[in-house]
Amino acid sequence: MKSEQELDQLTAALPREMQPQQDLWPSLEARLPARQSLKKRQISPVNRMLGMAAALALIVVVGWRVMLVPEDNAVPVAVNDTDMPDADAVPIQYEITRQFETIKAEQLAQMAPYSDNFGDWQYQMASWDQAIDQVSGALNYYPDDPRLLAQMQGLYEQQLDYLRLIGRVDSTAYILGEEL
Amino acid sequence: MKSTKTSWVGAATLVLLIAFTRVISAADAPMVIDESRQVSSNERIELEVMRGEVVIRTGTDNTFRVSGTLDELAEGFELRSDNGFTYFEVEMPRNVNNSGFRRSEESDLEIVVPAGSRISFIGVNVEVDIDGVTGGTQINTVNGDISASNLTERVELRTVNGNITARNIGGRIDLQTVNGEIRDSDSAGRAYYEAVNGEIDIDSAAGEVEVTVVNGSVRAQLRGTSDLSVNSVNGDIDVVLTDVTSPRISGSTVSGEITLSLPADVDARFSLESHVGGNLVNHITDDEVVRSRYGPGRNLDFSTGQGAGHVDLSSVTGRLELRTN
Repeated sequence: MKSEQELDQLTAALPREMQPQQDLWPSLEARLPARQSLKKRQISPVNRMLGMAAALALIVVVGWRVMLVPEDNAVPVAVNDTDMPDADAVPIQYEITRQFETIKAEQLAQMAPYSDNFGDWQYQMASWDQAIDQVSGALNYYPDDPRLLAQMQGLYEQQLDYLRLIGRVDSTAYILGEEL
Repeated sequence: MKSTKTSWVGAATLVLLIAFTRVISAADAPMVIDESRQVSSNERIELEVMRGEVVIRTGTDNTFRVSGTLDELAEGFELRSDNGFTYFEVEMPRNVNNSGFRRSEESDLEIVVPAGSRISFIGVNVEVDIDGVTGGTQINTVNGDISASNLTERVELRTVNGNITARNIGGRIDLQTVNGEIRDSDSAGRAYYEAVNGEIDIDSAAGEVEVTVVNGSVRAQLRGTSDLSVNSVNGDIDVVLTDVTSPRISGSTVSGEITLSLPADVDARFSLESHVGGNLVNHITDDEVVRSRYGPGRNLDFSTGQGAGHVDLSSVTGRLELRTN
């Protein structure tokens, strides 16, 4: 798309012989019908809802097309400057997320909200969650970048190790008889 | 009137009885222990002390000796030694309620072992000071510091809420804390350090070093380290590497900073990558950062010398910086 400045330059570069010999606007204006005030159409609530739903559906479809099915004229998503992503690379990120989130949910379901030895461990977990979000954001640009994928996996593993450590230490302290 | 007087006398008697019980309890001194066994020079020794302070030293002969005072709430101790294996435990009740009027005395022990022993220690609220064991050391505590010096073979020191201070340890080293700090000086061999929220301060000549930190920070002065791996989530890592010309270095961070200071004659291929807008700073050569044609990434690739070693660093939004010593 050209900028306004470029369009102005192109217009100025046109040959002058292509310009009209006289100002045509007055005769055109005289033949235009008189302007009428616009009446505001009453839109029923049902039609309004249908319109909003249609607009939403359009946004979703267009968004899906742009994000998941990039065309030649869309912004390419690439691993590096030369390669385009292959079609089955995108799900790796989601597969990692799905697998680890499932295990994490199972572990979290067995955890007490507060640990005597680790305090508010959920605060620490949130720190990892933020980092995972950041890596996930980067993967939107570079879907099959091996470093990012490894980093995401490593962060999930750190989270799971942390949860296991909490469970092990708290139970060990209990077994050894301490009521801290 | 008589009944009122009687009730006052009863109450006073009760108060006196409670006070007397307290005095008796306070006067109940911790149990003294002084036990020794003849063991092998490379004895495998397991220790369990739940609370208190434990000092582990090496002796000149093949004797296992434990001395000091047991936890005031201990129900006793168990000491078994047979066939190259020694087990010592301070036996505690299943639940320890230490929230009463007076805090009970915890164990205070010195344990002497043959230098070639292999030590495995487990505790909860216990501080451990160990020196001179050459057969391998494994220390696990939850709330307490670990101080270790002159250890070799396989050395694993782990605490949750405590600091680890290590001096002159070698072999396969594994130091981990969650909320404490790690300070290691004069180590050698292969070293792994991990902290979640604490700081790590390393002065080491280990040939292989791996450091992982989540929110804490790392300062490392490494001499002759040929293989280095550094990883952080949000924490900053600052490494000065000397006495090596072609190191193999890899590192990654999400949003932290990695600063790497290398010898001026470093001979390596460098590949630095920032995925989403992190800064790449090169003070080694004049090579410049290249912006990714598609996406917000940046790359810095160059070589020095013959490119014998390699330095691969990546970040998501963090900063990567290369310097010369």
